[in-house]
Amino acid sequence: MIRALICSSLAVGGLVSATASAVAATPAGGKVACVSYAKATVWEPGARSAPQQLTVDATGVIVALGQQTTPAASACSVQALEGPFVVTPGLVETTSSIGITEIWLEDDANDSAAVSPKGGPMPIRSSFRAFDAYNPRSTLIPTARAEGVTHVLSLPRGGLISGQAPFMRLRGRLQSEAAVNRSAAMVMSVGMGAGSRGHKLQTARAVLDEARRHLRTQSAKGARRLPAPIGAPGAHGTPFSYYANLTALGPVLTNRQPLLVFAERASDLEALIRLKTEFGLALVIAGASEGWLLAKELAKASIPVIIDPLRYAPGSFDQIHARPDNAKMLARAGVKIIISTFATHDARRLRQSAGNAVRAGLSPDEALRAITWTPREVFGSTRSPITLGAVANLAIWNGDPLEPRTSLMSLWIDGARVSLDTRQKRLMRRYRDEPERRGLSH
Amino acid sequence: MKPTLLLTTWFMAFGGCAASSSAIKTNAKKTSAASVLAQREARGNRLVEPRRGSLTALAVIRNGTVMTAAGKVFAPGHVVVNRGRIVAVAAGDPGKLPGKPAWELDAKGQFVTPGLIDTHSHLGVYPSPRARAHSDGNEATAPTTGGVWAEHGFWPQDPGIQTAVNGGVTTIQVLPGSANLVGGRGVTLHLRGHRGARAMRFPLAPVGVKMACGENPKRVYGHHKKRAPGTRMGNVRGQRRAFIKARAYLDKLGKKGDEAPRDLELETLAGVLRGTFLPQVHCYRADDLVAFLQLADEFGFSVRSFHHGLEAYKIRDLLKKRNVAVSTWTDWWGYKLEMYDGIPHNIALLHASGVRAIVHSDSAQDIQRLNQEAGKAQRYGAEAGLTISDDDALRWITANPAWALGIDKEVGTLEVGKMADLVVWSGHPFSVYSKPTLVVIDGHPVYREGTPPGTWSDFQLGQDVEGAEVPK
Repeated sequence: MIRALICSSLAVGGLVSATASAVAATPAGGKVACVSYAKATVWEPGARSAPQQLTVDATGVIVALGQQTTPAASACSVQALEGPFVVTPGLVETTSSIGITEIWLEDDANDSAAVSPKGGPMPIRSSFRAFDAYNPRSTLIPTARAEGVTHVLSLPRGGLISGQAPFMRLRGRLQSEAAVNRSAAMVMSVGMGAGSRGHKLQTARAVLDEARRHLRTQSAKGARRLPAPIGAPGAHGTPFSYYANLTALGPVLTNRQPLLVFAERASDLEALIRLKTEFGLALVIAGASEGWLLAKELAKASIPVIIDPLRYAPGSFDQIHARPDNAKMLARAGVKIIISTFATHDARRLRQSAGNAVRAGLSPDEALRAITWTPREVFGSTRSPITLGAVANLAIWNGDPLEPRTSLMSLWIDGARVSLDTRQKRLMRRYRDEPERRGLSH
Repeated sequence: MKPTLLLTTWFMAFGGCAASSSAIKTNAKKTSAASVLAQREARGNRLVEPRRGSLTALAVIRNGTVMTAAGKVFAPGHVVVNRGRIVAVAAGDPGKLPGKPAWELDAKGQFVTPGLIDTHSHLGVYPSPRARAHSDGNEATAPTTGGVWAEHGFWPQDPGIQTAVNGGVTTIQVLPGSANLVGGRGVTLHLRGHRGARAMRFPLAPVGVKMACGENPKRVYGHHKKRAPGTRMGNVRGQRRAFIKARAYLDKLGKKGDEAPRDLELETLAGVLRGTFLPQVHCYRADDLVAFLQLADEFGFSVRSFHHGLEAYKIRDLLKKRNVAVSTWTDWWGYKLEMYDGIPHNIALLHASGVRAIVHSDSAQDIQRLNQEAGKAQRYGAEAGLTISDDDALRWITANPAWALGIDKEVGTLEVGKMADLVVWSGHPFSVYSKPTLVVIDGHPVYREGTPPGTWSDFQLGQDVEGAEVPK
């Protein structure tokens, strides 16, 4: 039995040295390499265990938990890591553009937005699949992972309807390996901006209506008999992409795909509740700084809300009534809440965001749920509980994960242990350790 | 305050050692560039609105964990304030006070720190809510605009001021933006509400001069406006030209005295050359930082603080040698290419190398949680194998920014004689769950937990009339 004391080098990639995202297991003496975490408090939303042993085998399955073991546990050659640990499900960020943006201000390194070939306005981009632009080798992936983020909904940007967001696991050599759902949500934005906010809803309503007629026409009489596009040709891109865009709205209209809409002001949330009712949408609202003003209505309409607990000042005219305890008030009214950073490079702040919601009165369990289970449920993935025999989806911390001063010690994503190294840690080590980089060898 | 006193004040602030109160009585015949500049500064800096005074009485906080940011932690300890200054800070109980305190607090289970200081804010010049009419932070009509002053664009009704105070911030430097090579004068403000910006000025704080290198100026001018600068080469040329002019202007002042014509752009840069104004330089990439240090050497001035400096960790030996502070975020990176090598260990590495590291916000959001950002930077230090004490990490948001703003004799630590700017926290200041329960400036409580927000800003007043209860 190998007994390795966990130390801070683990967090900077000392023990986890493989460059591939999944760390290969090495058999020892005919046994299967397993990793065991001692004194692990398993914390799932609503339940916290006593400190116990948690063991994951080479296939990424939890084979021992406390006194319970599966038959596979007997084949384990255990590498034991000393705690105490807190073990939670991996964190899910729902409003980043990880994988489709490397550097916002460089066109060649930013694939988050479909734009018109002529550079003109193109508000309707529903057939744009951000998944096709996803780069599994983006440096943002390990960076988010190093702070416990295991899955993202990666959002396309721009326009009124921006396109389709994939739900990705943050590991895998190929796009297809990383994909959990290539088209998990349709993304839209309303609220302030050029022209009336009412016009945005007017356009959205017209397009959804047309898409509905388009779907009916297609199924009844074949694809050739299409309705005329709204306005002049080119107003929503070329007619070709316009029909493709209508077709792409099919899953939204048949309630099979969530429509994620960015909106902040209370009146916009109310207008969106009407839109949901009219078209029977699976609506999710992102932003909702003034959500607490409509908490009752949002709860009644069963609309999940994605919020940023760090935005509690009146940053814009749509956020005049923002307040720190928005998350608490929405949760108390029975709204399903998801906590998010609304950031891409800074998605690693997700647990800090959740911690701040707790500071403002949300319970720790509700906060954890809002960054683990709820985003998975809303965007069509499974909860992935931490139970005996389950595939490991584990973030292993050296303390309270909602405290920014806590470090992530180990991470399992859908049954594979991943490296916690990042390009940033390599830069740190280079400039910490190499004399010529420190100006010492001139 | 009487006008004569004011003049003296501003001579001390701007004249440095060359100017003294006796210089007030002299006139334009005296041809020292320093005295001419000092008189011009004094004329441009008179107060219309008086500054609100300090608490005139005693106040005391007992029984809390007192983190001084000066190397000592008293648990439990006390702080006694008199006439707006700290008169005692020590372990245990203060004992018998020399009078009846105006207010007192039993801070059992709570933590006391100096008021937090942010070296890089755009509150007031890019206020909340975001609005075109209030976009007053970048005079992006020419790349060198030393003559503009942040205080002239500062909107004292910005609701963000109150939210910053509620987060424990007592002093900020408001800077012009980074569109320009020479962006203009920053202003250090004490966050007590006044109707105009000038009365909020931190007493005697030197002027900060904002300059910028790298992507922003060349993007704003070369890319968007199709004029110089369009490259990093053009950036440095533009700054060298400006300093050549400023040097010539100083020479002219020396020869002609007050008869030399005024030049607002050059008066600001002359203050940099004379060492009385503090250069605050927006710069990211290590090679850009080095290029700016070369420029500073060429014209004989010192950079007080680089701002953002995401690659400062690559040249911490050079920064240590030149005594240049670095104001930066804990973990922002990657939005643009010059931010691509940003690492969250930057602050801790700088600190460990003896560079004054500072957590700044540059954000109306993050300014509300500088304490969390410092705690996070400390933890990233641990990941890099660096053990940094809580009191040292606290200096990143107190003592070090005070030094970068030239006000470290007055604020930044809890020590006897310093101004009574302090924060009481509900728990350890680096915990995500802690929040200020009391914020004190000049001895006056300016925030108490449970007070309704938006008490200063007129903008927020009455936004909630609809929906409020009708009085019976």
